[in-house]
Amino acid sequence: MTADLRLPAPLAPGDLDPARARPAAELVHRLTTRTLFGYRAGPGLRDWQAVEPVGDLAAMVPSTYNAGLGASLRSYVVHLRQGVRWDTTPPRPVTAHDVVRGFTRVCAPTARPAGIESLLSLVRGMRAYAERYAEAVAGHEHDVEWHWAFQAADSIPGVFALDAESLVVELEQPAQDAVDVLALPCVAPAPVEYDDFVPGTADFLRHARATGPYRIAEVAPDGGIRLEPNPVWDPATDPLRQRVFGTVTLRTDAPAPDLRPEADVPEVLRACLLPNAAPGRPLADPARRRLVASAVDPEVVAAHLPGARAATRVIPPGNSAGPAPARPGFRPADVTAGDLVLVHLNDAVVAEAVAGCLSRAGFQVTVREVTAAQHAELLYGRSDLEPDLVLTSWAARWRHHNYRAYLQPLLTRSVDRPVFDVLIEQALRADSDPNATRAAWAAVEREALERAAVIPLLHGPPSAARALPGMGPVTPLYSLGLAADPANLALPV
Amino acid sequence: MTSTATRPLRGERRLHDASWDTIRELFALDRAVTHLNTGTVGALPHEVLEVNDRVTREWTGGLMNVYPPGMYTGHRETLARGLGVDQDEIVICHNATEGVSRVINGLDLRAGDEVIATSHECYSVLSNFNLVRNRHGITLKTITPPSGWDVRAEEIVELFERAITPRTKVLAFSGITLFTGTLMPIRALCELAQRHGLTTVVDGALLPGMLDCDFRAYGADFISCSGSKFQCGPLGTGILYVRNKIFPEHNPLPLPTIWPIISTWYPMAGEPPPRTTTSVASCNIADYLQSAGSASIARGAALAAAAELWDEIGRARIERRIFDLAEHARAALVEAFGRDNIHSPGADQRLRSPLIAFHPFRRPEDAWNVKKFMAFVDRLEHEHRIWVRWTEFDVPSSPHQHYAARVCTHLFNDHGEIDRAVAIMRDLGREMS
Repeated sequence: MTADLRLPAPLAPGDLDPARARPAAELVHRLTTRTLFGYRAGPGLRDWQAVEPVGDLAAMVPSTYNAGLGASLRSYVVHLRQGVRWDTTPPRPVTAHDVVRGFTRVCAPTARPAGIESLLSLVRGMRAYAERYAEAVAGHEHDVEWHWAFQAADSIPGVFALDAESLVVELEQPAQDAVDVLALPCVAPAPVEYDDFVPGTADFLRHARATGPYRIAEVAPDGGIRLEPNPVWDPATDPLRQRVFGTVTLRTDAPAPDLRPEADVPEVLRACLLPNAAPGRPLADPARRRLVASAVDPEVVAAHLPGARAATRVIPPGNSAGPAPARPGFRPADVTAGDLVLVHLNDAVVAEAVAGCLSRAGFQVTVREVTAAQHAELLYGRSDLEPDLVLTSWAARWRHHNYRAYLQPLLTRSVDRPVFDVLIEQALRADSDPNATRAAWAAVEREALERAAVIPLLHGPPSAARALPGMGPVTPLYSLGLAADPANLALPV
Repeated sequence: MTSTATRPLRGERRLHDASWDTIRELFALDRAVTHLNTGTVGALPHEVLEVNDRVTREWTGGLMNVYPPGMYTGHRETLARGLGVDQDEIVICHNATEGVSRVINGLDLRAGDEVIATSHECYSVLSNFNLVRNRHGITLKTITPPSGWDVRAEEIVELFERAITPRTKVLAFSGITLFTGTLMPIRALCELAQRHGLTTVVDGALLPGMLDCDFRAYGADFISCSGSKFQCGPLGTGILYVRNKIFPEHNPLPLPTIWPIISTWYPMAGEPPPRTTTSVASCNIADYLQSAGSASIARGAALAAAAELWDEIGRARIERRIFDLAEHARAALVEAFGRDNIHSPGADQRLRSPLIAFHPFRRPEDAWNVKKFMAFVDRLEHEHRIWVRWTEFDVPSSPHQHYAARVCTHLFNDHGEIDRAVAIMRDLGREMS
């Protein structure tokens, strides 16, 4: 039997490598790749069991009660579940060394997965390792020998295997969201075969190995993917996934799921603008950025998008945050407006509304639509495109203690990064004290608004998948952005 | 297991000078087991078991009023006598965790107040202070004490002193740290607290039954203890000391406010009498804390029976015995593993305790491999019937969580079994290295 699921966008083949996990590949990763921790599909999104990370590849979530977490709250001992195997010939157990290799590959400058900033600031020594990695392979990013040489000579100090079944992950500081960060799709084990290609490249397809119920059988030129059952997957070892289909085909032209606004979960940032303040760009000038921020009226934009509300802050209601910061009062600046390029992904209505506001303030705005791959590269990677404004939406992928989820990823771009690095570091260090944490992230958010590093436009409820054509009801998974969980679909009646 | 028929009856025995072999016979301990883990739980004397059984049966199915005996008045008197304090300062509770939780949540702390504790505290202490931090907006400052052979008491006191600020209200520390077995300089820390006008909360889980201690002389405000560790009472027993009068030579500070969390004795209207400012108590603060509905009458009786047994043997004598065995174990462990592999203080006599934490493996980096310690402890138990435990703790300036094996000596141990156990641990450590 065959299930058709709609992909958000065509995939770049390299995105299928878990080291480069981008949202567009999440459905594939859910079906093919086990991670240390994951989320259960639960019918009620208010139910803690639907949003609480549990052991996936890990036998359990480390805690003080199972000797997995000491009083310092910085040392996580992870024991792997027995019986999880790679679909190699012959099948091999997934080991702690494979998990460590996965952490290593994520740091490759060619990877840049979604959530990388959370990971780099979480794991002890990981950021410095990633910086050394980038330096070591500079100019040879696509030569696997250089990657291999660096990986053989260096390691992340905060991640090490105790033996084949257990590893330790040490944190820079205690983090309430540590397990959620470690549940990111990019924190997946990598078999030794993955040493043979550059992380995050299309070569992944020649070497891909699966641990989930399915494995990649075929990738079409247009990004469509056919998955086949993974013969070595054992349902007894997988608390999160089922397998009821003979094959799964993911096609860009598959019928869209039935979506509906989901009021039982925190709201999301439906739209925001991310200015490009790279040297030489018009918005490198803080005064011009502020002019943009004051010119775009969220109320005007909201009128063009039913169900959305004007946003006065970055973090949407319902997420972990302190009280809303006061909206900055930008004084009229003695600055010329100039020409701007605004890019968007399938969001022309909002983009045109923004452009209209900017035009009224004297800007000449060129609006361009980009592909999903280009858009993802603008958000996570190192894009050759040089727009002045990126229009995007943003949603946290975990429910609780998600202070960092909206601010950190959006502020690690080009606007005053050193300033935000310091502020974010202070906020992360405050993690053990909720009051201090709220205050510190409020300072980050206030600064983001003051510096127009992020220009929030719209908040609103997220859209949750409730049915797939021909499939009947489905379970939306919070960690998949409320897409239908492809690993828990029932056969059509 | 020894039957009651072979043991001398109370009244016919002279325990204050009985041999330690004779005293060991009082315990429900299998001779083939080497119990070196009293830091987790002690061993019950037969008579304590019997009291627990007998009182349970006496009170089962009767129509007697269970509430008065649930105040444990006589039993608290017995325990208080052994600890150098009075009945109105002693509460029998369920364990050290419950006692310290009630104290921490009952302190009169407000937003902005600061508490200093160590990262080597039992989780029950740290989690409750975090609860209070989240609830009331206090600041919790945790300091990591040094570990290792050469640690000195002055280092520890200075560490605390450096952490004190004008906002500090409470100093919280263990009497003996459970992870490294450091006998903290209790009196010196209490004097430090008094100089700064601070309340002291001591996790004394390991103190009763080990030390011939005078709680009043420590000068602490609150000491929460286990009844089932060195005191060898039943599981589910704890002893809470609450300072209820002022003896200037021990602690001249006013009595700190304590709100009796979990109480049926606290007035249903109005307030209790004001706390005293002298050495004469103005209220029975312990009654407010003790009265919390019906209680296990047998548990309190059995704990008191254990305390009476200790008094009969002699608490000073017991302390000497425990420390004699501890010094023997310490020397054997140093010989087996080297001084650098001992995490517990040794050079400073004042910090030595009968809990000794050590690194049994050759490679230093194995100190952060919990699996090796788990396997080490499991193998000792299953292959040799030696019961120890592993502990985890922070080390200043190290990014790693450190682990150690820990032995505890108690009066029912003897030199021979310690020698045998250390030799086995030495060989096992080498094998696993």
